[in-house]
Amino acid sequence: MNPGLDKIHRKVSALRMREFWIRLFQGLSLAGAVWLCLWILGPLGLGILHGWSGLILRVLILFAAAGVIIMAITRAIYPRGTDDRLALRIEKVYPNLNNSLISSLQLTREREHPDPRHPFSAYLLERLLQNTASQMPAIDLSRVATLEGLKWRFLLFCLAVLSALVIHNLYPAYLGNGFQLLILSEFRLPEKSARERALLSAEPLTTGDFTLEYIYPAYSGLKPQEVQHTSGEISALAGTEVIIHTTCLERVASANLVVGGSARIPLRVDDGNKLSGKLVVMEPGEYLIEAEDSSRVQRREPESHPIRVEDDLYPEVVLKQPVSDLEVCADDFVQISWEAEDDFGIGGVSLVYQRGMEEERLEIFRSGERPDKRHEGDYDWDLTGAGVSPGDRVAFYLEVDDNDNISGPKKGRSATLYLDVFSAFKKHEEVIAKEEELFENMIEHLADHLDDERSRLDASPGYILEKAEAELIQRGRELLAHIQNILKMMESDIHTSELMKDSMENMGRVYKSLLEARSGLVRALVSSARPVKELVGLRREYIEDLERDIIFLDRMIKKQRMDLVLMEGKNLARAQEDLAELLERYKETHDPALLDELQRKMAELEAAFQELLSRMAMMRSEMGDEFFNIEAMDGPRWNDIFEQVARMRNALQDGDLDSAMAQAEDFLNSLGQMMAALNEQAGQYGEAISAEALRRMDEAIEKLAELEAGEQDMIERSEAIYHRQLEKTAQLESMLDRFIEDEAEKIEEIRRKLGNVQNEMRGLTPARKKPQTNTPDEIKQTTMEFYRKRNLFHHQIGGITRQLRERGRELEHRELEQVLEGMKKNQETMERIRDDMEVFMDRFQAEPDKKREQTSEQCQGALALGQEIIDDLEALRGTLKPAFAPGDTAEMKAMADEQEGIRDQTMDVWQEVADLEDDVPAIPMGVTGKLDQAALSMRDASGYLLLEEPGSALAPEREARLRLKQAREDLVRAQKQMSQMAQSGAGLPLALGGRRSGGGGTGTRGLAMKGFKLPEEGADKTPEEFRQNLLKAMREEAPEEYRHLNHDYYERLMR
Amino acid sequence: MRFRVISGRVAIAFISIALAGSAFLMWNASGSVALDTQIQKELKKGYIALEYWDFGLADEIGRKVRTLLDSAPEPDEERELDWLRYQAYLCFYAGEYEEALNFADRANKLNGHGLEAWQDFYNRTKSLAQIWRGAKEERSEHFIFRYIPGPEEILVKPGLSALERSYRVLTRELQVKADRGPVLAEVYPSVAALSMAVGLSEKEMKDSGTIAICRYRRLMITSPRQLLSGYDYLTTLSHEFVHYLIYLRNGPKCPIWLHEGIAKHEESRWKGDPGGQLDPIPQSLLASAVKRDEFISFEQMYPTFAKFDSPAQGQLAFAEVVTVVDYLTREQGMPRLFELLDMLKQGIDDKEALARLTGKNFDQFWQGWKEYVATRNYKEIPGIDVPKLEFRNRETEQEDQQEDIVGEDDLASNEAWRYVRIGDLLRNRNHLAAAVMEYEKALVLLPYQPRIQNKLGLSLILMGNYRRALKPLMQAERIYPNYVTTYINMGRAYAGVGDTVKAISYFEKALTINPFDPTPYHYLIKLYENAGEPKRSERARERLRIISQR
Repeated sequence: MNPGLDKIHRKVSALRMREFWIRLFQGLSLAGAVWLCLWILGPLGLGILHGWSGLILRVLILFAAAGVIIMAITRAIYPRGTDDRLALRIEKVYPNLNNSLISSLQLTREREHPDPRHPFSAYLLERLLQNTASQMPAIDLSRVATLEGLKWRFLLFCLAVLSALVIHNLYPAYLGNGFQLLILSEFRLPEKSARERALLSAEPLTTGDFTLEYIYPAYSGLKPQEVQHTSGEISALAGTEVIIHTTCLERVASANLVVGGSARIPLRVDDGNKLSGKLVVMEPGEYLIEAEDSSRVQRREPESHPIRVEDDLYPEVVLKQPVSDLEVCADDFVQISWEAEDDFGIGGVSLVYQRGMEEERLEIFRSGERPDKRHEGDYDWDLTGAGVSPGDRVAFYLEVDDNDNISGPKKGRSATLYLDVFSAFKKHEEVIAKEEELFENMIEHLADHLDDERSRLDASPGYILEKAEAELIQRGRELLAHIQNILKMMESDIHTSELMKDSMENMGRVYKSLLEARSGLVRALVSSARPVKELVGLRREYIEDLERDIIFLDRMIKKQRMDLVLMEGKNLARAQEDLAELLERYKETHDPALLDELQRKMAELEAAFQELLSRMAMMRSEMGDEFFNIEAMDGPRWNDIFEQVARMRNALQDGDLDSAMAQAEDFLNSLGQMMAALNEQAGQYGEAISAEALRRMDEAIEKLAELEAGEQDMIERSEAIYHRQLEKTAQLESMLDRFIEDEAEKIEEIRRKLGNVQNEMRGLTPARKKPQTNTPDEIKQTTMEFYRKRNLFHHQIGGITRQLRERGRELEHRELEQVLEGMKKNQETMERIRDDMEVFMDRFQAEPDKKREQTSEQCQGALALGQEIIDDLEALRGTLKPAFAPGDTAEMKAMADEQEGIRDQTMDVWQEVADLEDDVPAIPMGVTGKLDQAALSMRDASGYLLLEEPGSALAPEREARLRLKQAREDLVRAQKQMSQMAQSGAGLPLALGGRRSGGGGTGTRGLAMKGFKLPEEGADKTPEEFRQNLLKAMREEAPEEYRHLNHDYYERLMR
Repeated sequence: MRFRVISGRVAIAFISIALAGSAFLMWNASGSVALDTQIQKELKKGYIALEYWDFGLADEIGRKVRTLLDSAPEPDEERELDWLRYQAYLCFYAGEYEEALNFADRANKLNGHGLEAWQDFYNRTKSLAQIWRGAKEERSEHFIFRYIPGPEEILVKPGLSALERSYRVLTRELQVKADRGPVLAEVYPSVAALSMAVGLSEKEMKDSGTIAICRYRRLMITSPRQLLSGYDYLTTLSHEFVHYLIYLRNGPKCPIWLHEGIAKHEESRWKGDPGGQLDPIPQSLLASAVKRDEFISFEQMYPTFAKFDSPAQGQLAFAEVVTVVDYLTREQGMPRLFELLDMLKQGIDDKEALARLTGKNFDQFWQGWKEYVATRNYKEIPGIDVPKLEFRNRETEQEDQQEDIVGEDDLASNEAWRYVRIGDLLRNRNHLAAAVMEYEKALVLLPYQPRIQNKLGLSLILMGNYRRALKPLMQAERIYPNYVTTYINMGRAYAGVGDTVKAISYFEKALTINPFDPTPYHYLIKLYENAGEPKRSERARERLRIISQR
């Protein structure tokens, strides 16, 4: 841009800005002054002008206030002129410019848009611009745009502010009230009539004390009341009649009560100044008395008397029972206890419940003529009558109304509670939904494991096994909690199969033990890295379990969903039968109520159909075509059914009952066909998912039965050998008895002989003929030694005699080996004693000789007998061992081999069952344990047979058979459960029979509370009958199987 | 007396009249008998002409019989009925079902419903007339392509193009003049419809995997839309055209093993392939058979290949006959094969003809063939899966909603499918890395399962690991060249790595097997655009529109 032109433009712009600020402040000052004036003067004007004129004034004031501010702002903002105008203003003040400023601006503009008709020289323009620009600094804008206008406006504003301050100091409330009057008070047209205006200006009426008689409304039950010496203020319930008595100073001819400013109630005037009248309190307000005195002057009280309506409080009702939401059955009674209260009296109490979109009301209490202020009550709510259905959620509350018949009954209500009507079907659905949730969690859990495995194997940076493991274990525990939760839910779900329960329990057990083991290893990792391999192994095992269970759960959930559809289909068919029955009844009776019922039933039926279809569609999308390429799932057939329902409804509407009946029948047939097809399909699916497992279980069961038979055969053969052995032993027994008798006699004989020896020895003395060489001392010493030795022999023989008594006892107890050993020792001792005695007697030449000989003789005899006993016992040893019958030994060896064979086969079955557990978590975990025990027992049995102890082999054989039997029975039970599951719907039997505790049935078969009796005192004690049964059972013999086992057990224990 | 005279005269007159009448009747009767015989003779000739697909001659005979019938002094209902039935057959053979039904209805009006065979024919005709009512036909130089308007329209152009190429190649190679007018090719909308046309049960056809037949001088195929993964319908059309040519050459005098052998040997010649090539599966089956010396005999192949117990047996039988033809042509040369056909046409027994041709008895020939096969070094692939044709269950099923779900049969068949099922569950929840691990576990157990290979490949593609995905997919492609899913996934993988040319080629290959799958079209539209070929993109869009019509 040309620098000269730029200077010109800047000058012009500066002028424009100056003008803007001047105008803005002018406007604001003026507006402020006007506002303050209006504020000060407005209320005065309004005090003078009333009615319409007052209203108009108020509006004008407000308009003026708004207008002046708008004007101030717009004047400032609105551009007041172009550059040309501003240039002219400057030119006007500075005529020496000689229009150079305006010319510069206009020619510059034309240079940009040249007009060929008026060419001009660019050079000259340039010169003009330079010239003009050179004059710009000399231009003083304050001369062009002066502050004159602003000054007087600001002065005006200051005056207004000063006035306001003065007024505020003098009348502090003036400005506040004025503002109220101008802005905040309502815009209302004047209502006062000329008469009122006259009254307003009338003389005051002077009244004295008021006496008020209150006659309360009947519903309040309050007695009439008179209140004296009041100011006239009335406070009463709505509907209360108030009789007002007062006396005025002036003598009046007539008087009125003016209520609410307009309504007039004539008052009775007695004695010229006693006034009385009656008003009915209906709403809060005020009243005053006006009167006309004898000189026709209107008078009125200067102040009004307030009328206050006392509150009739809302009634209240509290549910004392139940206090929280309930789960009930469709045919239950719900016991409701309530307490209601009102300040004047309760009118009635109703039970309000909402079923679906409909709200029903049931009056459960209505007060009599004399209502109570407080009332308690009980009510047994029969849900059958309420028409609730299983699966419904019913909201209910109590509603109480008071007895206010003046302003209408006020209502109060209790807290809203909910009844969840128990539905076995719904419960089962909930369980399945939880299972699905678990299924999803398991997949997530598996994914976590696999992702972690990938990180571990790839040795991802920052990967810490302990940390990862801790997180996985934590999530595993959450999964475990989920399983426990489902198991808990299953307890009250009558439709959950035993297979599912067992499977869940097994899953829980397996995961728990694996998680605990992993957890333990993680702790061990802290101190050593050794368990890493083991931990990884456990992890893999865990992953395999998860994979297996996911597959299982996937199948089972689908199967259960399919069975749900079947159940729903059955219910549908039942509903349809009801419909047909209704139709039949309607045909007979033409009862319009039945027609409504029919329409309702049909609507329900269609809705149920829709539900069934959506379920089937969901199943179809989940399960693919493999199991749904069937007629039952084909859309066109369902469309046919819908058409049948529609035709049925039309026929019903047209009153063509025969046709409706025919349609109903067709409908039932179609439905039946489709449900049969679906049933078959569900069966096929069930079979498909379990056929392989069932087949394998079948094989295992068959094998176990074979093994059981094999073990039974072993038992029988062992028994046979054992019995033969026992027979042989019996023959030995009698021989042994005789032997023992004989030997005992021999022992007694020895003892007797030894006793004789002792006796004879007592008679022995040292030789009387004295040797020449011996001194008396030597003789004395020899004699003493003789007697000492003789005593010693006596004792020794006595000891042997005692030992022989012991041998006798041993013999009696048939402890032949001990007898033999003892006898041998005795014999040795006796021989030594005999030899010593010979030496002794020779040395001392004991006398008499006869006794000496007898002693030797007896001693020798005892020794001979002792040897005889020893010989007898040794001879017996060979004959005592009972020989087996020919071939028994060989057979026992063969049996031991066979037993080993059975054991091997048992271990094969064990492996198969362990594999099966992978496929079917519901296989009882104890089966493998039992097979293990059976195998161990078989090993024992085989060992005993090798040792040729058939009697000892019997106990483990029997135990093995028992364990095999138990394992087989467990498998049979599991197989039965699976078969039930495989059959369509059979795994989810409809609860047609009894109910399970804590559960309920489907449809109207719920948890019945009717006739339920609290247990009596002592009912927890064992019933008499039960005790009798126990005693009787104790008296009876134990079952054969257990008798054998017990017998064998004790026999083994003894050994 | 008078009475007697009169009686005598009357008697003479009566006798005379009787004699004259008898003579007249005898004359008449002899005329009728001659006509009857002639008509029957003509009709017999006509039926033979039909059997040899000489519809021109058959038509001429029909007209001749009509003239004979019209010239008969009195109408003969029985012969009229024969003619009507003959005309019905003629029209049926010619593929004119409405006409055939018209004649059949007229025949039924004359004489109830006839024998069971006739009733069966009538029912089939009626059904076919109903099926083809409103059908459209497109013509090329030598072929008429008949189809039900709708998605099958997509098959017309490629079908006619492939047939014309087959015509050029095969008439020359097999030295057959296909000069009996344009050949009708029919695309049946369902297996049930095809079974109605050929007179086999639907179950038989599904069990044996029969999807196309050449009979009544026309080629009949089932729409690839009826199979879950489609099939190579162009090669199948060519295969049936080989049968057509052999039948033209030899009539019914060619044993089934040779018929199928030549057809299989020549079926891919239209693509410029050398012929006689075996895919890895039949190679493996043949290698296994050689190892165990367990073959399917020619006797077992009779009367049809459509009655084997398993797809593996069918594949083995085809592998055998293809290599037999290959052996013959390599040992003896192609002209000797024609000599063999000529001998067979003369009514010589096939084994005798082979002996004359090769100078070896059949056992020696068989032994020679086995040695020949042994020299081919075919490899036995352990655990190979012989795929069975999977037919669509419902008409309404969407092509793009086919999820390869692991069924209970799969789960019962091998442990690997458990891992696959788990893999699917993980993949559907976007745990792709975990799914890959499961699929890999499954592949350890079933290393050559194309479904698992494809699932693994797809998961890797979804992970964006395109190059790694190619490995299992290439393996699947090598062993199972007709498994369409592999081509789609390879297309995806190549599109992922940015190799547009390869991606396009794989998607196009997929469409030759299943032109009703919308997935390749969606990709191709985009890929053509990226490759700067808007016209091809537009064509793909148009084809997508065609298959989307219901």
